[in-house]
Amino acid sequence: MTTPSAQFTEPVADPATAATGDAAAGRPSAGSARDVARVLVRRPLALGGLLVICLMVVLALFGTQIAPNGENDVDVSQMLTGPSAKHWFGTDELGRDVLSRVIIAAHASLEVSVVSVGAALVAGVLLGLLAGYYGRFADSFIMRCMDVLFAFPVMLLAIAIVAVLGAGISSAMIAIAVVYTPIFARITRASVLSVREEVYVRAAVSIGVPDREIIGRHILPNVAGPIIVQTSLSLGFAILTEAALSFLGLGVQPPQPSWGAMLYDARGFVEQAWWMAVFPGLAIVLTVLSFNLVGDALRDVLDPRRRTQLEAAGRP
Amino acid sequence: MSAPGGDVVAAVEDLQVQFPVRTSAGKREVRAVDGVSFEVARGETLGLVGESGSGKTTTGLALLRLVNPSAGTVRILGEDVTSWPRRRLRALRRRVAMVFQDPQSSLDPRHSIGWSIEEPIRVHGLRDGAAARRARVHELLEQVGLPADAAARHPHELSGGQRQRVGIARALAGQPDLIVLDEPLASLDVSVQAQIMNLLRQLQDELGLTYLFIAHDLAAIAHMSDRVAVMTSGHIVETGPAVQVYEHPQHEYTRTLLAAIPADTPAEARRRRADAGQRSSA
Amino acid sequence: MSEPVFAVRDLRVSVRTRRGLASIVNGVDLTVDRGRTLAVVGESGSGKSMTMLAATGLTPSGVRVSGSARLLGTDLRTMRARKLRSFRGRHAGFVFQDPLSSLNPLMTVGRQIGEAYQLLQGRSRADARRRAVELLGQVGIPDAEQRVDSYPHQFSGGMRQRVMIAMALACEPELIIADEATTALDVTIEAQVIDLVTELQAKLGTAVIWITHDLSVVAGMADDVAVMYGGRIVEQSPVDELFEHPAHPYTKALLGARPRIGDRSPLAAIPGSPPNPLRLPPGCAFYPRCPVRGDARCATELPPLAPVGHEHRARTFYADVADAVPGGSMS
Repeated sequence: MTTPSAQFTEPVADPATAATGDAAAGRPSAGSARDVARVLVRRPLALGGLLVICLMVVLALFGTQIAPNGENDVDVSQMLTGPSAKHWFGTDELGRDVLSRVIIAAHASLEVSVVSVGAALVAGVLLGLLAGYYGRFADSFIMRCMDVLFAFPVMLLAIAIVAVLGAGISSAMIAIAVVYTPIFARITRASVLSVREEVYVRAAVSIGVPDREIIGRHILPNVAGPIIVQTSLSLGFAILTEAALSFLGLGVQPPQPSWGAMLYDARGFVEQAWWMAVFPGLAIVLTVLSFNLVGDALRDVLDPRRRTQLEAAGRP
Repeated sequence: MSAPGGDVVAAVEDLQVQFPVRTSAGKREVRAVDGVSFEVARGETLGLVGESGSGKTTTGLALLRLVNPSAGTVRILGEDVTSWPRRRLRALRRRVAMVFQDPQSSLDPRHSIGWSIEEPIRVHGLRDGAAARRARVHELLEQVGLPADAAARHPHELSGGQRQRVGIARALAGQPDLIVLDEPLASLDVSVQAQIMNLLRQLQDELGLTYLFIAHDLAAIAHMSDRVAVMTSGHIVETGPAVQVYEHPQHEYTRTLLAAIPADTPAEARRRRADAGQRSSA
Repeated sequence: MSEPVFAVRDLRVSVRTRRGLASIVNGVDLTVDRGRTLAVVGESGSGKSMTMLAATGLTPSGVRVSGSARLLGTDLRTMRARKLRSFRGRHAGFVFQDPLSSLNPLMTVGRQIGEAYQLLQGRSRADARRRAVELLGQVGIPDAEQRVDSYPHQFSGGMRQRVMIAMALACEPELIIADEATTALDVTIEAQVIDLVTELQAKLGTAVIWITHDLSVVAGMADDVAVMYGGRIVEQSPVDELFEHPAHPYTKALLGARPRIGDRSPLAAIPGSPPNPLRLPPGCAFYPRCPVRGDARCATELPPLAPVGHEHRARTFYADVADAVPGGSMS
C-alpha cells in the first residue's frame, strides 16, 4: 500500500481557477509592479500622463536651472508682450518671462501637493486602520470626526484654516492635509473592514500574532491598492486646491511664484495679455489630468473589483 | 464524557457561546453552542460531527478563544483559559493550533508560503535567527510532503491540496498540544481529500498529535476518529468510540444522520429507495 | 430511436491567458436522451462545468469555443444571441451551486420564477404568479400561496435550492442542467433534493445533466455517467457498469479513494494534482498520476475513447475491466 507520496513534479496551479478564482472572489489579486508596468504600456494616455508627471517633477526640482530667466527678472522694456521667440510664453505686467515663471512655479505647486497629500495619507491611513480594525468606540469616534470634516466644502474648510493660521505656503499645506485626511481614512477603513474578515487574518489571530503585526503585515499590504489609487488622484486635486488658495492670495505668497498666484496676477489683464492666464492654467490642467489618468490606470490594476470587470470584458 | 486513558489535553464543560443577531424584531442573542462538554485525550482524534448550524465550528473556535464563551469552562492542559485576558492568549495559541477549511483564503496572498509557515515560529520565538527559522520551515515542508522550493512560492501558485498541506505545516510549526481541524477536507477534491487524510493520520502516528476533527462528512469522520461526538443545534447528543456510535447509535438524531449517508453503489441506492417505498406504503 | 434531447459534438474550449493558451475542454462528445439522467463527473480542472457553459453559450467573453451543441436538434452554437437566449430559456433550465448568489435578493421568489415564464411565453402577470405557486408546490415548498411573495433570504439553503429548481422548471424545459447543485447542502437536505429531481423527472420526462464530483450522488440518481479528466471524457457507461466494472485507472482510483465506514486503513489516494490546462501532457492526461501505467504508449499517445463493454467506452490503453475492484483498496 503506497502512502500518499511526497512525489511531486512541480507546484501546479490551475490558471483557469487561479486567475478567475481569485478575481471572482473579489480578493486583492497580487497587483505587482510588473502588472502596473504592463497596464501603463498598453494605455498611451496613462503613459503620457506618467511622462508629464515626470516632466513636472524635473521642473520642480531643477526649475531654476532650466528656466531661461529668473522668476523675478524684470525687463521693463518688455512688459505685456505676447509670445515671441525671446519669450515663448510672453511677459507679464512687470516684464517677467512667463515661461520661466511657469517652470519655476512647478516647485511650489508640487511641493504643496506632495507634502500635504503625504501628511493626509499618513494621518488618514492611520486613523482608518485604527477605526476599521478596532471597531466600536474607536470606529465611531474617528469616523464621526471625519464626517464633520467631510461636511464642509473643501475650499471653505481650507480657507477657514488658512484664515486662522495666516496666509502662506505652510498654512496652505496644513489646510490641504486636514481637508484630504478624511477621504484616506474612509477608504482605508472600508478596505480594512473587508480584509479583517478574511480567513487569513483569523488564522493570524489563531497563531497568536500581536495586533500591531496583524495590522502592519496582513492588513496594510492588502489594502494598499485603493490607497495608492486615491493618492495619485489626490495629488492632482491638491494642486487645484493650492492653485485656488493662491489665487485667493491665501497660499503661496509673492514673490514666490505658483500657478495659482500667476492666475491671480493675470486677472486684471485677461483681455490685453491672455498668455498670462492661459499658460499657468494649462500647466494646472495638464498636471491634474496626468495624475488622474495615471490614477485611473492604477485603479484598474490594483482595485480587485475593477480588475474582475475588465478581465470579464477581455481588456488587458 | 471523559476520555479513556492518557492525559487530557482539552476539557470543555457546559460551554455556551452566544452571538447577538439583529432581526426585524430587534436585537436577539443566539446560542450557537448551548451546553457542550467533552474531553480530548493526548494522542487521540475526537471527531465532532454535525450539519451546518450545529455549532461545531464555533465550538472549535472557542478552544482557541477565537470566540468568547458566554458560560462554561474551557481547560487546556489543565488550565482554565475561559477568562484569560487578551495578553495571555498568545501563550494559549501556541498550545492549540488550527487548520482552516478553505486553504486558499486562510493563507495571506501577499506573502510567500515560507513566510506564512514561519510566522508562528517568529511570533513565539521558537528559533534563534533567520537561518534556524528557515531550517525549521524546510523541516515542516518535508513533513507535509512539499518540496523545499515551495517556500518561495505564493499561495495562488499552488493547488488546493498543496495549500492545505501548507496550512497543516503552519499548524505544526509551534509543536502544539492540540490541533483543531475545522472542515479541513470540505474545499478539496475527492482524490485530494484522501491524500490529506492519509497525511494527517501519518503525522499523528509520527509526532503523537492530538486532533479535534470537525466535519459534516460522516465517512471522513469515521475514517479519522477514535471517538466521535455528534452535535446538533448547539448540543452534543451522543459521544463514544467511533465504531460504537456508527454501529449502535443510541440517539435518534445520530440514527437520522447515519441513515442519510448516501449509498455507495447504484444497486444499494435502488434497494434503499425500494425499502423506503415499501415502508411508506406499508 | 428518438433523437437525443441534447447532443454535444467535439466541443473544445480554450482561453488565452497571460501565461499561454489554456486548453480547458479538449474534444467532448455527449448525448442525453429524454427522461434520462447523465452525470458528468470530474474534479476541479476537469472541464466539466466549462463544457456545459460553453455548450449553452454561457461562457465569459475571451473564451474560445468550437464544436456543436444541439438542443432538440438545433445547434445552439450557431444561433444569434437574442434567439439563443429565448430558445435556451424556453428549453433548458439551469440549477447552479450557490442559490444565494443565483437568486436576486431584491425580488420575491414568485417574481423570479415568473420572470422567465412571462417573457418567454407571453403570459400575463397573473398567469405567471399562478405558475409560480404551482411550481413551488411541485418542488415541495409548504404554504406555496404565501411563500410565493417571500424573498430568497427568508428561505433556508435547501429551500432555496428547491426554488432554483422551480425556476428551472418554469417553462417546462426538455433539459435541466444542474452544476454541483447539492454540494453546498447538508446530507439530509441533499438526499431530499435528489429525490425531488428524480421524481420530477419521472413525471415530466425531462432530460437531466448532473455535474458533480461526488460519486455517491452519481450512485443515487444517474442513469449514465461520463467521467472527465483533463478536459476530455475518459470513461462513459451506464451507471451500474461504471461502479461494478470501472475500466479507466482514474475511475478506479476515484472509486477506491473514498473512505469506507468501518475501514480505517490508509486510503488509496491518488498522488499529485490535476493537470495544468496550460501544459497538458502529450499522451494520456492521467499518466503522471496513474498507478498502473500498463502500456508503453500511455505517455506519448492520446488513447482514443474505445469500447470496453456494452455501451461502455474508456479512453485508455490499459482497460482491464476484469481487474476492477469496485470501491475496494488498491495496491
